[in-house]
Amino acid sequence: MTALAEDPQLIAAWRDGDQAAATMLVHRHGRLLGRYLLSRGAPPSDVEDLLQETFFRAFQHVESWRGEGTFRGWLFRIAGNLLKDSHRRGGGRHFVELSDSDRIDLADPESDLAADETADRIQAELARLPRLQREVFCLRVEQGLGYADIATALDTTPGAARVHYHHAVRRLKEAAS
Amino acid sequence: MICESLSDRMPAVAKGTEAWDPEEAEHLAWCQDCQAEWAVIAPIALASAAAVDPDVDLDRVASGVLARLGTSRGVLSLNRFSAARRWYRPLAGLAAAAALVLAFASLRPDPIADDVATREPTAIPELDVLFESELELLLASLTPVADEIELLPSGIPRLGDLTDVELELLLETVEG
Repeated sequence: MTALAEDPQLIAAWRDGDQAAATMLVHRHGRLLGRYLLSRGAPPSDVEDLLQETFFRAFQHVESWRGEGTFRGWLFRIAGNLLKDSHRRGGGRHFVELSDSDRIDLADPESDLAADETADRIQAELARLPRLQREVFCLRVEQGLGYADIATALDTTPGAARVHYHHAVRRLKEAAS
Repeated sequence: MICESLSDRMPAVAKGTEAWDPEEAEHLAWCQDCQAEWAVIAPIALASAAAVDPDVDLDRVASGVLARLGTSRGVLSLNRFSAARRWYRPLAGLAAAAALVLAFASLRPDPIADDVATREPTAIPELDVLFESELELLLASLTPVADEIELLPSGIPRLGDLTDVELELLLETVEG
């Protein structure tokens, strides 16, 4: 089995006993999933465990996927659910405190301040968006997923994901103007 | 006016994984609505692209997953095996009994195949002078009686005394 094989082929190979196929899938999607988990507030020290749990559940219940939707989207759905459980148990998101060395030097304080205010308004509006609109927007813009992946991740259709995305963009544009 | 002609490509271009073609770049240069959208999308996509990758060892993740899957698969197959054993147990008992009968039958001397001339002298010298056909007649008359004789000495359990599990074990022994 080559690294160029599609996800369904790799899954079929793994089910036939090819362990290298499973390793390829972990390498193909692990990095992006890890970034997603971090962006959603997972503590950095937990990301590897969450990744392992995500792939373990995906392989263990691969029969329930049956090739409907994309495998990547399905992984995102599992990871998202694990993260929600983790937040529920931990009592909320994990925030990293910034030190002075993390702060960016402002070369042009006035224009950067205006840009910061716009960014703050966008972030505030993003937090106010309906859950599906917000999640579609973040998966599309931050993670770069296509509508098919997003639809699987959020258990909706690609068409509905596209509509949610455009509603979100419209509201964020209004907030920025 | 709402323009969404560049919307679908904006995230990928903002992240740097794709680039505008000349026509799209020209559109973005004059379309105010697309510029407004770009002003929202680009900073967020850029920030996420610049985010530090998580410090994870994907080989370790993969081997951990495979190790756990190996364990769970083992448990799964054991459960399936147990269920199958419950279902097949009565049939296995019958098969074991049949195999035992065949095994005993093959061990019993075949009166027809044995050559009278090669036999050791018997305890009944009169039998030694009989021809093969006469011996066959004699054996045929004795068979109903022989079938009633216990084949196993007392103290050794009969087939009917064995449990299903013991019958299965016996079958495995016979079949090797």
